[in-house]
Amino acid sequence: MDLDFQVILDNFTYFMIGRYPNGPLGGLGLTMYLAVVSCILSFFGGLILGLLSLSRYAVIRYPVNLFINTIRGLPLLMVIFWMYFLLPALMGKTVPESQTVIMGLTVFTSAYMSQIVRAGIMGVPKGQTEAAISTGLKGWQTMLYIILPQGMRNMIPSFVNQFVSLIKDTSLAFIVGVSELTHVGTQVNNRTMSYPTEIFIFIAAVYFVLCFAFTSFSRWLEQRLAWRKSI
Amino acid sequence: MLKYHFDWSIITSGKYFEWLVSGLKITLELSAVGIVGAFVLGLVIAVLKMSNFKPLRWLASVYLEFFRNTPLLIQIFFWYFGSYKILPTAVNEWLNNTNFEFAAAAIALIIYTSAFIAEDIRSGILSIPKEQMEAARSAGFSFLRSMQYIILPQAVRITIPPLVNQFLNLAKNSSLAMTIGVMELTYQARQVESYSFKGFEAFTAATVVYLALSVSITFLMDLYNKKVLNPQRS
Amino acid sequence: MIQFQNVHKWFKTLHVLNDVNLHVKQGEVVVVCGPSGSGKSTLIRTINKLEPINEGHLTVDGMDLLSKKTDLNRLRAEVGFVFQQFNLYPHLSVLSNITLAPTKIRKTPKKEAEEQAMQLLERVGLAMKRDAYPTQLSGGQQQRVAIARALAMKPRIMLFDEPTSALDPEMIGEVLQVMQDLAKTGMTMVVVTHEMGFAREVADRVVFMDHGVILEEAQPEEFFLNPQHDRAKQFLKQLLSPMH
Repeated sequence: MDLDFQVILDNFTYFMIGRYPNGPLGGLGLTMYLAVVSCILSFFGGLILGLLSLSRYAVIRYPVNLFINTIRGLPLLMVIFWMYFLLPALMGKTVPESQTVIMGLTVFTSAYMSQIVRAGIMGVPKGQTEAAISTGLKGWQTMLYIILPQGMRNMIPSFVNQFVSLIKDTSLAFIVGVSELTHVGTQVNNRTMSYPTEIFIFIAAVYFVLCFAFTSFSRWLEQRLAWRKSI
Repeated sequence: MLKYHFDWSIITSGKYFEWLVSGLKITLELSAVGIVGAFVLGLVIAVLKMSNFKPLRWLASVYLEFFRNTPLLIQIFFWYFGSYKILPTAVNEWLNNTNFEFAAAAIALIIYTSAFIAEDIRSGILSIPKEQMEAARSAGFSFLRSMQYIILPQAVRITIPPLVNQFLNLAKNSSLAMTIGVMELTYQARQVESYSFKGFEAFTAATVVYLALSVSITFLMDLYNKKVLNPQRS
Repeated sequence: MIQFQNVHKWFKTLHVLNDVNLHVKQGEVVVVCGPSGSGKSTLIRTINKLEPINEGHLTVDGMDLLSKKTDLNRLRAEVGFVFQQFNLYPHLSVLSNITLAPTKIRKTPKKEAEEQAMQLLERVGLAMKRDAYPTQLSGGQQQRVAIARALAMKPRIMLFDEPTSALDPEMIGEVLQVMQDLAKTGMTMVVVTHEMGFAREVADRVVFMDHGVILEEAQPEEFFLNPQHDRAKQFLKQLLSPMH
């Protein structure tokens, strides 16, 4: 076994930011961009889906839950292909690959985030709702001022974990040709031919450092926010 | 808006139907191999992680953290493109004589999923209150007998739902094997699309199959939760 | 003020309120007691519709609780409720716990709401705790804040659901004192409690319930000295026995 990591050094900036600033952002930079944008969108998507899935009206609850469970039953790859396929038809024009991937990741992750939101809301004791409505607060006020602020604290570590999954999931953007880290890796591999081991070990290490940092952060948060149990 | 001529017949019979069926077969094979392998390996890692010998615990932790925090796709690429440099010659030769794409995908799926499974098994065992062990030991059972009669039977019941969930994840994740040319269900759906331009029908067929898999397993799990985990409730 | 007429309620097949008739007049303090599972908590929770009733009539401060036209939020703003488990909002300071509803519902300006809240905190003897969080308070202090929170909406009726049952014995007195002071101001109060000392001193009437039925309704003196019903006699005997 003799590995030669010179190939990594030669292509280091390409791995990190692609052709930027002379061309579009790529590599790790694009991976982070995809992950952060999808994460923000999925946060709101998950919040909306989660709240709707708890609606007291069955006509809202049932279709929303059906949607959530359908998405959760599919491989992410399938969801991305659907987006690839449906978005141009729905929008009536071609959609850039990176936006297709962001939409796919958002729809997919929103479905999982909605479960976190649900669990967070249902984890707030019933007495809090009763106390709030007993002072005359309306349903939405109770949710906004009492339930969500408390539930959010329980949700935060899980959100960070979802973000880690998102970072990993952005690697699938490779399949539709978005030049993020994985894609750049395969490109360099095709060009240099003889260093696949080195390249994929390096890329795995980059993802690992990033994901492990956030995983550790989430664990730290979980311990800090375990305040509810102390009551 | 959409001027699209639906033609469901192309996926319910004929060449494309056969493609999809053969894809499903490979998805099921890959999932079956993956589930068995990931479970066995996950069990081993969980035991290592709970051992009294510190270096083993440490080794298990590194394994868990590394494979959980790296994308499955990269792991698939590593085994497919890059593993030859670090594997012994004999193993390389053996792999080259088998269905290498399938083997690389299976190895990646097994290792990736085993890291999640190990964690589920471990937290299942840790979730049993330590008083249970103390009670068993006080009653005169040895450590191993206490494990066998008291701890494990309880832990298994708790661990089954998250384990099945991981199995389901593995089956869904097996779709990534298409990237290295394993002709599983997603690969075939895409293949049908590019040959027939009937993407909507092809993806619908694959979607329905994946959903059928998920829904039936979720249904069984709900049943398990009701009958085994919470039998007192109605 | 509060009028129950032939009220029935079921939890599935369990008949938790069975033909309840009760009239609470303005300014009256009524103590409801009875063994656990007697339906007394359910009774008090129907008054602000935390539990809906299935049959009969219930009017509170002129509002018909079965009518669809009744504005439930307005009703609840008029009726203060104090819980056994306090249910303070753990993410808000003591002051914010009290000012939340007045600012959001009554649209009271923040400054005014805070001044009123401080007056209430002084009344319950906790002005110095205005910036504390609920978890930093003892159970007795939390319950006094909860009473102040309910009073902040200037309710016309106050309901207490076993307000001292979750408290350590040495903290019961401080909460009962606040309730007694409140009664002196002429507040209409319905109190579910086992504190017979409080009932004897403060209540205008004692209601004894068992199995969802009101078995006795009497002046406190009369109820304690000469209970009519066998089950009431038994209940009082158990409550007053030194083993309890």
